[in-house]
Amino acid sequence: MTATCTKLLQNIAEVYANKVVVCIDELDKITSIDQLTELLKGVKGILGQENTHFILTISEDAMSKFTERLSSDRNLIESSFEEIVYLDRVDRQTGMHIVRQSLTAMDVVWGEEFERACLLFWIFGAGVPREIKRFVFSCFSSGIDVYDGQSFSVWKLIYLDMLQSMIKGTSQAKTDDAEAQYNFLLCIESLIKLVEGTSTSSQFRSVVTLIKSTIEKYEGNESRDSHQNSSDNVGVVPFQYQSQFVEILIGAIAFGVATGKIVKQSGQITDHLDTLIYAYKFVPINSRYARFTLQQFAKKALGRLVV
Amino acid sequence: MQRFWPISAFAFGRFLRKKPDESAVPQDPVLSRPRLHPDFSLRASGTTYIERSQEAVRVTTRIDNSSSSVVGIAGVRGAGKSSLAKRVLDTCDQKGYFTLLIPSPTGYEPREFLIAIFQRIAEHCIDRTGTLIKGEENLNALGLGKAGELRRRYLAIALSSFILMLLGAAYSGYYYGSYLDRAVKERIAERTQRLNDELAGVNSEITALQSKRSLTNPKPAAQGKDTDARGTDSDESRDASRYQELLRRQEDIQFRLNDYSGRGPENDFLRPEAWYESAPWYDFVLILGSIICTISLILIIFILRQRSRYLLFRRNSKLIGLYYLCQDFLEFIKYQTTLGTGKELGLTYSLFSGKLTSTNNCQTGLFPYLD
Repeated sequence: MTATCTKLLQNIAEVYANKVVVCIDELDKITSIDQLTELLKGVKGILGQENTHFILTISEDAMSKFTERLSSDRNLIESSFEEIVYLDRVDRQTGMHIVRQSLTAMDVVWGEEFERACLLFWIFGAGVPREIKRFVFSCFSSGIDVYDGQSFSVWKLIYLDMLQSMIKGTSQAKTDDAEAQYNFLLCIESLIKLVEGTSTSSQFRSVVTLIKSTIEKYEGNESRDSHQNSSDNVGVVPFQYQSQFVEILIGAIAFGVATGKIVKQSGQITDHLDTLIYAYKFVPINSRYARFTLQQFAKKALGRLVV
Repeated sequence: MQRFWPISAFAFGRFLRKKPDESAVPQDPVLSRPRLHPDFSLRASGTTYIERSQEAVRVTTRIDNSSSSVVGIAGVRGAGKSSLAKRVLDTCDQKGYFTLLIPSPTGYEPREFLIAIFQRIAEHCIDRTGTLIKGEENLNALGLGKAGELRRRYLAIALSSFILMLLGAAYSGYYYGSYLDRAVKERIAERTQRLNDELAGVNSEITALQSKRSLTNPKPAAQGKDTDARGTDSDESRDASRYQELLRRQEDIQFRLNDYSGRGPENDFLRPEAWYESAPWYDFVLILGSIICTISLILIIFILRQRSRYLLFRRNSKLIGLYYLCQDFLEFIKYQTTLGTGKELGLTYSLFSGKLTSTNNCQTGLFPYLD
């Protein structure tokens, strides 16, 4: 069967300039590493045939799991692929490019307000193009003008959407997690009220402090509930909602971008804001590390960036 | 009238109303911006993909400069993996390479997956090469193709009707003319013969009268006063009048021998109706001739189309070969899949014999090309 198929590929290549380029998309839908390994072993026979070129899309999770596994699996990847192109999260400039492309405003020069709105889309979208486009459409459908000084409205809309989606996306907890989930939902609701009461005149430091203290209050409850018998309770307490809190804190920092409190300082803003995207990147992988990155950002960058 | 004023004002106002001066209208600051046509689509697209570090160029260069390659694209969901793949495929497509995007395999079991991939490759290949045989598949081309088909049809009907008319007219004219010519000659010969016979009779009678008595020197009328003389005179005068009549008749026959103007009862055959009445099978001949002409025309058109198809096949022999090869390959895959799943157990005899034929085709038709 494989031999016949290979012959067919050669015949096709003979007609079409000696190149057959086949892209197998959506392989990234396979989250099971074993399933992907089996699949690669199965199709390895047709890969690398003369005049044929294969492009396979693989999820970042699967790739990272491959690298963490035994050397035999790593060998399978290394022998299967001649090159792996990693598409990382986009930087600030590319994010702005994507927004302008979505609005078909490539040739129009916009002011600082528009750039600020683009920054917000980029931060909330975590540097993922699809998420950036999604947020742009949310603003467009809500009638928010991203061109004229409505960065605060952009921030409020996206931040509230994020908080509300955390409530909507919460699945029914198990019996032993029910209390933690209840506390989490209470925390989100109080954060929603807090954000709704925020205005452009609100101080950046006070907003961030309020949000942080609300989270810490919840974390304190969680800490006492789940570790009341533990004697070595130090620092940040790991729990299942850690990743959501990292996102909430990043959103709080974005308030400074929206209100113009975080301003450019000798071109260092790009590096510092990239740290936020870096923190986002580690949210699904290791939320504790993401939180640590965020703390480092607050210590090193915010002190200089806050006016 | 007062009541109808608003209606009439509305109706006439449409014609009388002046177009407002746009420069005089205050401009909305939002509307006065450059007109934007946003596109918020989240689908993967090669045209809207924004390169980060020339990754599409890198992959394309690798494809251009190597005999084979396997490139993986990894990244977080929504990062643009599919868009990058489409950008690469678009570029390769412009270079004339065979490109195919398989968006979602039907199953992830290795064998099924492999079969699905090759089925898609063969189908796509048939689609691409099939445009040569069946024409373009986009809506515009399809519509234009159908319109062209209608145009060709009515032009063919009009042309064939015209040609048939011409051929029918030419054929009937020729046939009628030749028939008429032949028949007229026969009738003229017959008529000439008849008139000659008649003239010969008249001439012999004139000769007899001339020998019986000299009509050139008749006696004077005063000499014939007795009965015999009167009787003799009476015979002579009768002969003389008969002689005169024969002379007139001779002259008339000689005139008619050279007259074809259609006057006179002997020229009746020159009327077309008379000839048509004398040839009732002429309609049948005309219809038969038309049918033969139509069939000939259809055959000529069919032959011309077959010839153009033949020339197309000759010009694109490899593509056509690939088209049929892929069709055979799909049959082969179907056969393999059926064997794998054992679906043929429940088939009736006729279908089973069909399957055997199909298998035979696979073996005899496909492998000679591949081996």
